[in-house]
Parts: sequence; C-alpha cells; structure tokens
Amino acid sequence: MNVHAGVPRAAPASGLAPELAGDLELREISKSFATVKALEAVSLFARPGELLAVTGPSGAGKSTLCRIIAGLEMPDHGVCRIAGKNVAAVPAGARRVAYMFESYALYPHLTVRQNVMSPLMAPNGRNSEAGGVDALLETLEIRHLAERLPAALSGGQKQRVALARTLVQKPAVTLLDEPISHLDAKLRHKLRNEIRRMVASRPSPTVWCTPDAMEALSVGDRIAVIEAGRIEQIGTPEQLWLQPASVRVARLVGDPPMNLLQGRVEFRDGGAHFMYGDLRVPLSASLAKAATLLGRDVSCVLGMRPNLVAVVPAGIPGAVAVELYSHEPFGKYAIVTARLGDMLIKAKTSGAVPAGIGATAGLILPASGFVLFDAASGNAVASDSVAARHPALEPEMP
Amino acid sequence: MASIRFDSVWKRYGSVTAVENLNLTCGEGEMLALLGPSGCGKSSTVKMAAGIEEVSAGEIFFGERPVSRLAPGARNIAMVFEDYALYPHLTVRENISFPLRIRGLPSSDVKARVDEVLDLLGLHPLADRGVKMLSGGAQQRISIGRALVRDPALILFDEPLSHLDADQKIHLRTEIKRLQKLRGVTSILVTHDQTEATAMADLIAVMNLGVLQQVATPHELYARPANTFVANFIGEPPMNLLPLRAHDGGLVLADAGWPLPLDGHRIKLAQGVRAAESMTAGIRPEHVTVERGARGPRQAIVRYCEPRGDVDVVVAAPLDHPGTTITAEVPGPAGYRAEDLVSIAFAAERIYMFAGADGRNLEVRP
Repeated sequence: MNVHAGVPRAAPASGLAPELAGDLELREISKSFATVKALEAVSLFARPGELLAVTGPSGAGKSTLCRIIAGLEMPDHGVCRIAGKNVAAVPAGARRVAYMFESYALYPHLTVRQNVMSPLMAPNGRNSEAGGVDALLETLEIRHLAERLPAALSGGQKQRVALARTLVQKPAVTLLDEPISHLDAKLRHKLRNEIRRMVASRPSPTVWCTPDAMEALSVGDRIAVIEAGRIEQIGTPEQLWLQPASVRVARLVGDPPMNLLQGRVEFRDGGAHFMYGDLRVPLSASLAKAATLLGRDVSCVLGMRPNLVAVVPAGIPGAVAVELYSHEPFGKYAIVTARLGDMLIKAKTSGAVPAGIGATAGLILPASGFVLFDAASGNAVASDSVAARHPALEPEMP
Repeated sequence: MASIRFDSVWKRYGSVTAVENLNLTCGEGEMLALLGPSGCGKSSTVKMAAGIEEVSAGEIFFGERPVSRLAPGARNIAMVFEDYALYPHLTVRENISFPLRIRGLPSSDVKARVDEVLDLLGLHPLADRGVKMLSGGAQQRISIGRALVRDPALILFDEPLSHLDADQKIHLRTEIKRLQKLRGVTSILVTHDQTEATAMADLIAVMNLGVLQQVATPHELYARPANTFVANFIGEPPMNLLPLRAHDGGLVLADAGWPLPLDGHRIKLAQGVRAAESMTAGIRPEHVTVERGARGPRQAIVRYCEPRGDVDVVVAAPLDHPGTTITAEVPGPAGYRAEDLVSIAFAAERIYMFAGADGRNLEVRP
C-alpha cells in the first residue's frame, strides 16, 4: 500500500465527499496478528471538534487503532464509521484521514515547506487549507527552517514538520500518533495548547495517541485508556483522576500515580476497615457498603492519591511508623517515599524533610478520598470522591 | 570516592566554543546535575570528565589530583548510559560481575560484592535471567548495579531515564537518588529534563550556550533564580515572564496595563534600576490565583485548561489583550473551560524582578 502521511489521493466514487464531516465511531473492533490479539472489541467515538486522547503503555494497541481508522489495516471484526459512513470498503487514500505517523515519514527530497504543502498539491488538495502555512510554521517554531531538507533537521524539528503537514489539511479525521514526544518541556506545553485550539474549531474529530497518561489528561476532552488491546476506561480527565475504573488506569494517571495497597477488608465494631499488616484504615459508609459486595474478608486494593498522604516526623500521634525510603524536592512540592512492610507509599507534600533516608518517620493517611479495587480483577468497586461533572465534556454515546 | 572540580575549563571545537571558562565543584558523595538545552555544553563537560574529550584549557581535579592528562581507563570512572549498554547474551549476575571479572578478582570476592549490589537494587529474583527480555527500567537498574559494583571514584549518569516509559521514570529516579545517597558515591548527572535534575541532584549547574548560568541546590534555583534563563528553565509549567512599563509612578504589565502589586522592598529594587532600562516581572504559575467572574483590575478570558489530576494548569489572556497569556496552576480538578471569564491575582511577596537588558535577578547579587 502506498499511502504517505495522510496525503489524499483522487477520491474514487466510494470515497468520502469533501463536505462530509461528523463523528468518528468504532464498534467492537477486533484485530489479531497471527496469534497475538492486538485489539479486542474496542468501541469508541469522537465528536466533531472533540479531541479524544488515547493512552496506554507501549504495545497496548494505540498505533493499530490508528492504522485501522486510516484504512492501513483491516479489522477482523467490527465497524469503523467516519462522518456516519461505514468505511470498510473505502480505501485508505479516499478516507480523508490526516495521519501523523510516529515515524514522521517525511519526503527526504522535499524542503520543509514543500513537505508541509504536499497534501495541498495532491489531486483533491483543494480540501486543504492553502493559506496559513507560514503562520502554522511560525506557531511550531520551524518557519526559519522552511527551505531546509529533512536531513538537516533534528528529531524534534522533523516531528514538527510532520505535525505541520498533518494540521494543514482539512480532513474528516485527524490522527496524531505521539505528536510531541521528542520536544522539550516548554515547547510541549505550548503545543499541547496550540494544537487543542486548532482542532477544537474543526468540523471533524481528532485522535491523539500518547504513552504519557499525563499528556493525555492535559490534551483530551475525553481520554480512552487502552491496555493489552482492551479499553480500560473512557472518561473526562476528572473521571480518570477521581474514579479510575481499574488499578491499570490508576497506575498510569498522576505524577506520581496513585498508591495501591494490597490488603483485605475486615468488618468489625459495626464498620469496615482496610487491613494491611498493622495498618488499619477505617472506610467510609459508601466504601464499606461496596466492600460487602466483595464478600467477607476478601483481598482488595486500596488506592490513595499521593497528594492526600503525609509523611511526618516519627512519634506524631495517629501516624503509622514507616521507613523513610527516598525524598525528592521539586521546589513547589516534594515527593517523599515511605516503606511500610514490602510496600512503597508516595506522598506529595510541601512540608520539610521529616527524617533522613533509612530513618523512621510517620505516615498519615487521609480520612477519605480512597478508591477500592477488587484484587482479583483489578476493577474499581467504589470511590469516595465524586467527579465534578461537565456536561459539555461528556457527550452521550450515540 | 573523591570530589570533582572543574578549574577554568574550556572546550573549543575549531572556532566554536562549547564550554567557556567553567568553574564548578561537586563535593565528595554528592550528585551534581548538568542541566540545559541541547548545545549548552553539558555533554562536552561530562566527556571531558570521563576523558573521552580532551580539555582545551584549564584542569579537572579528582580530589587534589589533576586528571586531564590521564587516559579514560586510569580515572576509575563508571558510566551509566541512556541505552543501558548491557551485554545482551549475559545474565543479570554476569553483567554486574563483568567489571570485576575482567580485573581478575577472586570469584569469592566477586560473588560477595555482586550479591551486595543485587540486594541493594532488589535484583536477586532476576539474578540468573537473561537481560534481553527485561523491562527498560530493570535493564537500567542492572547498568547502575554494574557501575556501583566497581566502587568507582565517580559515576557519570548520561540521560539515564530518557528511554523509559513515564511510570518507570518516576520509579527509577527515586531509586537512583536513594542508591546514590546510601552508597555516597560522587556522581554527575547529565540531563535536559529539569524534573529529573531536581528529583535526583544535590546541586544543579544550569548551562546555556557553553556558559554556566547558576549552580545551586534545587530549592535555591527554584526560590532564587539568577536570571530569566534559569527562571524559565526550572519549574513546570515555566515561570510567567512579563515585561513591565512605568505608569502613574508605579509599574504595570507592558501589554495588558495590569497593575502589579509590589511591596516596599520590590519598589526599592525597581527604583535602583536605571530609568532607561526595562524590567520584567517573573511570577510562577503556582503563585497566580484565579477566581471565576469579573472582579478587580485583572480580568482575563481562559484560553485553555490542562487538567493534571491534583492540579490544573489554566492559561488565560487579559481581556482586550489576547496577544499575551498568563499561566496559573490551581488546585484540581477545577473545571475551567475556554472562554470562561476569570479574575487574576498575584501574590506580592512572590514576584521576581529581573532587569530587562540582561535578565539578571535584581535580588541576586552576582
């Protein structure tokens, strides 16, 4: 197949008409390579102007998802709809998908400007935005490189050329596969926002893939977390943070991510307690009620966010004795790691260092704000916090 | 173990100066980070310490001993690279024991020292596994073990986390800091990532275009950056740097015209600057407060909000001045949305004052 970075070719009769715009929808998409299941019954949708971030560890299936939407792979099962049209019979070149590859795929013999303009030169290039190329290059801080060949660019510069070539188009779907991974922190911060603004006004949806869950949280109107080919959760940034659907989601979200303590729930004295070694954490009524559904004395995982945990000098009443494992000061806050049994618990605090490394310190856990997971499945059972709901960010599944 | 000191060190490649008159000391048992953007001279500096590059002028001392004429092998330095550089056909134990075996140590000594390092790194369960199938984080721990086992005078960490997934980065930076402190091994960390430098190093040397900008503890760099380059490089998201102009005897933001709340101390600093020189205010995003609705003299429109879990980063443009933006970090989830009307406030005691011409912090004396 000869498809280059979303360059549209002449649209055959079955192609998407240029004026068509609308939702992207995947229904029960499965794909295997030999015996390896790359995607299993993946369903998701994205509305026009919406940015759906897709995150998960490397090998989770993010790129396969993109390739199926772009038409570079055919799913074994399931339906892909672009702007309401089932695209199973539409070849890649006629899908009007602007696809930024993780590997850039620049034309080596064309200058930066020619690479960026190349989609506009294609036979049906009139669908694309001819003006504004210079402004786009300026925003991406590569305008001064416009006449250079890709060979004379650094990795981060090439990435921005590929990004410009994708954003210059007016496609039915925009796919960005790790679009800013090779840029420095300052430029990433700027481009996260600039790209979001650009795609928000489009009549078509955008999918942004990244292994960095915090980047996904920052850019996504909604975020799909994918692991081992399955969707773990789709939700707003608030939902992922406050109500992770599983330990697999909780492990990815946050810097540092949620502490996950494996223990058991015991019911006594009229209440429910989470027990881990000598540690005994009283659970709220709602968590206790959910815990009863798990059965008596079953093992479970208690999740607690590092910003709700404190590590204090030893001997403070109410604190659990722990070993101070490590201390990382970040200026505005510090991450203190404490060892309790064979668990490492991280606290994100603004306080002073409570003790030296290896010394005894005290751990103070929050009174609420926990998430309870079933240890066997890893799925969330209940959460203390309720996500702030923003109807505009939560379109209903059509 | 020894301290390491760069004494008036220069590095030139032809007519290009990569490192300019570097004076820098890393105390015994400390970790010093060399931090800066690409091309800042950090890699040239660490290569001179390792003996991979020659010094153009000046001297490098390990303790009191000049080493710039010594061959790399004679300096007793261990290196940890970004791509781990393990022997793919050897097991974990064989990789870690390799530097001792090639020195011909008796195998009982080798075993004792390797066991100690395996314990320290929690690698005992993996000791007899091949290294190829292990995660990047585990491979990098092995390469750190291989460095530690030699008892080197100095360990050079060259971008040790850059190939790892985000969760492994967070885990390993904690481990490196802990190991370095427990073993008290003098270390230099080369990185372009201020988060890594801040998490791991005792001292950070910020470099730009071959010139050392400031060397200080992470907290000092955050609290008292020497100039706008350091201020903008340390901190995520970066500090707001806002040009000022005089107005009605006070100072206002040059673009938006917003009044700047200044205490007596800062007014005095501003008065000390020659009238002809411009000034820039520096305000960290975490010291900007945001309130919903139109109140007070600093009203703005939210351009975007980045949720980051426990905090949200809000970028807002002053009303009627869409060309400028102010970045704020507020407790999350706050749920701001684009086009929300908000009021901005700055904490007067948290405002930095920089000279406009050279960007120096008016409070930090050179």
